[in-house]
Amino acid sequence: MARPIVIGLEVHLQLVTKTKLFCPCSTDYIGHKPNTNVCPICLAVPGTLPLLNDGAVALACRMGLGLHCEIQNYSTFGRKNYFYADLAKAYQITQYELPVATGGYLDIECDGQSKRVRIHHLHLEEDAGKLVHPTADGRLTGAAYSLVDYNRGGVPLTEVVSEPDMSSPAEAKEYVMKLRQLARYLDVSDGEMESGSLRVDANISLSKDDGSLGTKVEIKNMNSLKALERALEYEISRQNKTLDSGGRIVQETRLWDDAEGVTRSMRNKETASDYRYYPEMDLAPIIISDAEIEGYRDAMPELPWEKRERFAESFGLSGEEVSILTEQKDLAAYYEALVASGAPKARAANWVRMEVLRVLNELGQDIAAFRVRPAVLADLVTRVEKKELSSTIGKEILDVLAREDLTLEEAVKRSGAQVGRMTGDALGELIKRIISEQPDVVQTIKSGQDKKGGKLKFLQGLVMKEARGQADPQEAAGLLSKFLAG
Amino acid sequence: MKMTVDQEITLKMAKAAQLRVEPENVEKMMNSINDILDFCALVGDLDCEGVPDFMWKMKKLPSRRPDAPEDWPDRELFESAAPVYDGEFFKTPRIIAEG
Amino acid sequence: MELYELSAKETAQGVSSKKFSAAEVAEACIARADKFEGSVNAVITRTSEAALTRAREIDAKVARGEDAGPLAGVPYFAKDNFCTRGTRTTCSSKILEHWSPTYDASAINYMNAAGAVMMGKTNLDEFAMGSSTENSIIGPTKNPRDLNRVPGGSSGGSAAAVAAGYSPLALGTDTGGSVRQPACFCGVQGMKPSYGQVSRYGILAYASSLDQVSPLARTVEDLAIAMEVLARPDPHDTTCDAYDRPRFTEALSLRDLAGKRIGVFEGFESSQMDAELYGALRKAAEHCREAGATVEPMDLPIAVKYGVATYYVTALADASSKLACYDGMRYGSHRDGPTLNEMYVNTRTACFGEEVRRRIILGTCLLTEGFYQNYYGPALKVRQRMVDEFNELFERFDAYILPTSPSLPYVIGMKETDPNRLYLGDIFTVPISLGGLPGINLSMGLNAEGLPLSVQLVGQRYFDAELLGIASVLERIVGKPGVATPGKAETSEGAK
Repeated sequence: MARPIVIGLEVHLQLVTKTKLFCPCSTDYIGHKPNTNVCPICLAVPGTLPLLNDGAVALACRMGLGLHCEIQNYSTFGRKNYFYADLAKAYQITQYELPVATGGYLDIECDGQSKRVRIHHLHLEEDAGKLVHPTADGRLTGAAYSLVDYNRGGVPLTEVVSEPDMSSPAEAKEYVMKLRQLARYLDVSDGEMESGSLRVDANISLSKDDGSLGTKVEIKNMNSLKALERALEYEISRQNKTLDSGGRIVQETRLWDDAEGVTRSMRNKETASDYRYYPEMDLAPIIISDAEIEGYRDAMPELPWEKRERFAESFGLSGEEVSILTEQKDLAAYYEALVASGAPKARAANWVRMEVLRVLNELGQDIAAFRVRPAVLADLVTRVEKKELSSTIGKEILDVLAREDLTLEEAVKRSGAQVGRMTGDALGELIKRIISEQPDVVQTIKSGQDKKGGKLKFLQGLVMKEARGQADPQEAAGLLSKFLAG
Repeated sequence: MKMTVDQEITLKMAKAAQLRVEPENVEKMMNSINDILDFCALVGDLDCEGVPDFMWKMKKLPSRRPDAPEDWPDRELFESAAPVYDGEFFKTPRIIAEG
Repeated sequence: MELYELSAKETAQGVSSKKFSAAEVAEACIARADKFEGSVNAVITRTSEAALTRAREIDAKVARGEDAGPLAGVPYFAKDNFCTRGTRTTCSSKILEHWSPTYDASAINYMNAAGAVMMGKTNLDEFAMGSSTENSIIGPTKNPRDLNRVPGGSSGGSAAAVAAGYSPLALGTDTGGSVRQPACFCGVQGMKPSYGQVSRYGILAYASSLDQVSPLARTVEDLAIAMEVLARPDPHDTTCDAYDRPRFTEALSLRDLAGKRIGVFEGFESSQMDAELYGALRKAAEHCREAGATVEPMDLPIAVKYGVATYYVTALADASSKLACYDGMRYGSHRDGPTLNEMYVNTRTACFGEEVRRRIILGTCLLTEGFYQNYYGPALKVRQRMVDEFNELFERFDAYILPTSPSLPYVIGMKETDPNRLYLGDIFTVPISLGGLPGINLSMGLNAEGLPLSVQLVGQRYFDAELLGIASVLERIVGKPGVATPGKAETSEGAK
């Protein structure tokens, strides 16, 4: 008797604003010298006051609208008080009572089933700084001191809090993927779990035998989708074992240890109530007029599910093709540009799915950095369609164009590949040379021992190869027979 | 509802505030907290059914800060006076890794 | 008349018209402080050299025929919780003993831009927590009207400096009466503006929802000029209102109180307060009537009963949060420790004074789960009811007259131990702060022993200019307070 699983997720997204949530410092902290993107506000210098970033409000609203939330006309900030070295003010400014967006949902697909995950709310808050624990031998334990870098301190986050509507690790993973896709479509966040611009905390409980809700455990520190899935699976099995052996689940926060593949109790470190929340009076409330909300609504780009629908309708593609092409907004745009430049819809879809993604994967590139502009690829695809180029050569040319700054003409020339370019006397000279270089094979053919024609095919292949695809196969075959007979 | 603290809670509060109360002063601190809790319990006596939480109202709300980065010209001046700045990081006693 | 006795208005006019120089005024004020500072102890850091340099710059500007500003050459002191670039800002605390901010508070910027000359940083109770200016790293400030008595607080240094003639103008901060009460004790005019009038940027906070920059002076007109300089929108403080302020000095053209409806507070038993201060209240009401106002008794049942408790919960909770940033890492004093927590505890325990530590622990308690639901949460609602009560009353009145303090300045060292009497000291000032209303301490002369008497005028939120107008009419009747000569007993007659 499997106990029903109840999962709710809190997803933190770093917003891609230019400046921090409450000060005009740059949000660019990765790879920067420590403590250079700081100012009196994010260092909590006495007398300074937070100044709310308009851009962060706009992004939070956009994300809220993408999640079908209601944007609040009036929302407020609060302080979450606790001491830690990475928190300069010793309180985090966050929203807890009146968040900027409430209600809403996100539809996910899992095992071919569609499921609606309700969103409780979305709020704005500031990120903390970063701690570094150096040691002579690079180990984490045994350091004599810790180092604090406040560059990340104050970077805007939006926290999306779901209802406990997910019932398997796979659904949780799918939800995060969908949320990340939405955030990227909306240019709200990079959504990179590995770099920490998307962070997930999971609340999980197993229902009791009588069907009532079980004790909730929070899991933190999962740095990839894989880790999220593994941590939830581990936790389900841990809780099941505990309950099977008659034990009790303790309400607590546990940290996922990816190396060991286990969750560990934070030893009752701090519970929510110890944070001492109360209203932030250094900031005016966020007042968002209906007109402002309408402005955000009007500026909403096409959402992933809208794009999928449109692609299926206007390009006549299969569900799988549409999914792949619309996974990333930029890839979808690339495909559309390809078609707009004259590439046939189905062919173009194949090229993007098979070849463009292959090359991007080989190069470790994003479509944004892809050298081959859609118009160029459209030209290439058209030439292959017209049989001016073989499809093998076409793919080779794409490889070259993706790696070097060449025009299509230059790449074609470089490949030397153009059907029908080597013809007449030039082709004749090439064939004569090959015949002279293969006396044994020629002898075999002439003596009538090439019953199955294998040797002749071998020579034909040599000719085509040496001609580098420029010879017309029929002309080459005719000339070869003529010279062998001669 | 009027609340009180005992010595244990008094010490817990001091700890949360990152302050030390010497053993000989715990009782005095506890009494001081209880005096205030006793007096301030008054705030629970007024009927505030349906009254919203206080928040300032303004005649004209200042506009939100535009999302444009600015440099801080006085960084070095600040750093030169920072107690635990090592030229790159703020240095603290070892923080034991969580977990 | 000596230069140090002039009002800010007279000083600026004299400097701008080259009747005397800003340098001469600065020298006179420096000499005045030199003479009495040994006994008054009002100033933590004096910046006399910089002040003289600055005064000469003002004189040069005047000589070039440029407009040197509405406070041209006017000396002023700022409470030592205003950030001043390059000048240490201690908040009377060991934790900031050697801290020099890298920036000026907005109020300081505005004063300087108006041509005023900063003379130094005045004493206060550590982190503005107190009402006697005894609780300080430099020791207590004495009341210039009677050196045995406290000047009030927490802006006691600023009030004493203005009373003793160190400067015609000073800046303080008022959280629950911290400018009005010392103005009352030292016999000067002091105004807490409506919340949201003046930027708090660069003020070392006590309580975010209550602190207001507040000027002290010896004339109501100087308060109005200071308000015109200080009250303006500030991109560094989003709790500072963005609306266009009126011309505060224009309100001073009010000739009488005809048509004004004044409420006189009568919601207390006379046994609860000093008889002479009660007399001053009655007298002020009489003057209002003489000046043509309709005067009626009024009461503030919610504000008076619940105000002090609500104030304590609000202010202590906020102080515990705002003072958490002093962790010995980025600025201020530091004490080592083997772990992060021990470093925090060592720094904060050694460098915060006893009263500050006590209030931080109290505030922490009030925000903790359970206590919050019974204290902070209800206080937020009671505060809203107080605001509603004020709003209803302002449908009937243009202004109220209340006492500022229920008692005359007390003798130094006479610490109030009875908590209930201690709380009573703030009973008339804190409700005004909680409501965000403008309040003016108006000097009503001296009693027979030379101790100051005064009343508090209170107006509707954002009606600061109208309140200044009413205060100026009354000031014309009762007279402006004079400069005190510390160490010399004064009498009512002697002060005039």
